[in-house]
Amino acid sequence: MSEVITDKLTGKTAAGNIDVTSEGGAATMQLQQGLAKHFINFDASSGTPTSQDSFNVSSLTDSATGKFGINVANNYSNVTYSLAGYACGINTNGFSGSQSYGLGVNLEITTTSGTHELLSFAASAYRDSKHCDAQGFGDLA
Amino acid sequence: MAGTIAADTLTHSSAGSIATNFVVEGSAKVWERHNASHVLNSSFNVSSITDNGTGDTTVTYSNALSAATQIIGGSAGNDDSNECIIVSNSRAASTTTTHRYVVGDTGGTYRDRAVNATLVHGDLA
Repeated sequence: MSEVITDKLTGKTAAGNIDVTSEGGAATMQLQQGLAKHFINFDASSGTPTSQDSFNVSSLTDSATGKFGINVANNYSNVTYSLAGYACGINTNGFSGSQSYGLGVNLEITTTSGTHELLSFAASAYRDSKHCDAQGFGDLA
Repeated sequence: MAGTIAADTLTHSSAGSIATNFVVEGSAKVWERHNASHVLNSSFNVSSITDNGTGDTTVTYSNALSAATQIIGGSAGNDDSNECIIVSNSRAASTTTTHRYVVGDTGGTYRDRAVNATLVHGDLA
């Protein structure tokens, strides 16, 4: 087995571009593009969102019931990065109706460094969900 | 000529080691974000998106996956609107080069939102 011991990988031709070979070997893709640039798992069921695990997140704010601000530590290079996430219920495993939860973007993103606000909801009411996940993909500055 | 490293493991001086298959298999293979007019704002490994109707989008990949069993995540929202959103990828079966999803409010009405984003994990061909 081969092993590379290093603290940093830098592209040779272009510092920010390292290609990796696909699982099937038919394509090469840019390593940096496929990596999550931030993620967070937080619990808001107490009424105050508490981070359980995160990457490249400097702080988590409580905007209102069911609304949360996530502040990114290292800026994106633009405001068009892609966000994904989900939330589930307060001590329930429900799937539909009032126990169906989702996580959406509440504010159109206008900054590369500040808060992008997410919301969790159920039955048209904002809720402080037990389990909230969010990830961001895009270009860092 | 660009340099090439063939390795099974990457080791950081303090942060630990990771097998390179986690780097390759754990990276998102597709991501995209588009606006309410179905115009792509940013993307990776996306050749095009198709507007199938209000809140209904098909994403087509540049490089194909090895199987149509990809994992899809997403979110959508509006510009400080109180209407909530739901993302579903069950509108049509995924293929190795596409996934289709709908965005709607909690009343079940499909919506074109200002922010619509999905990402895909799986193996490339």
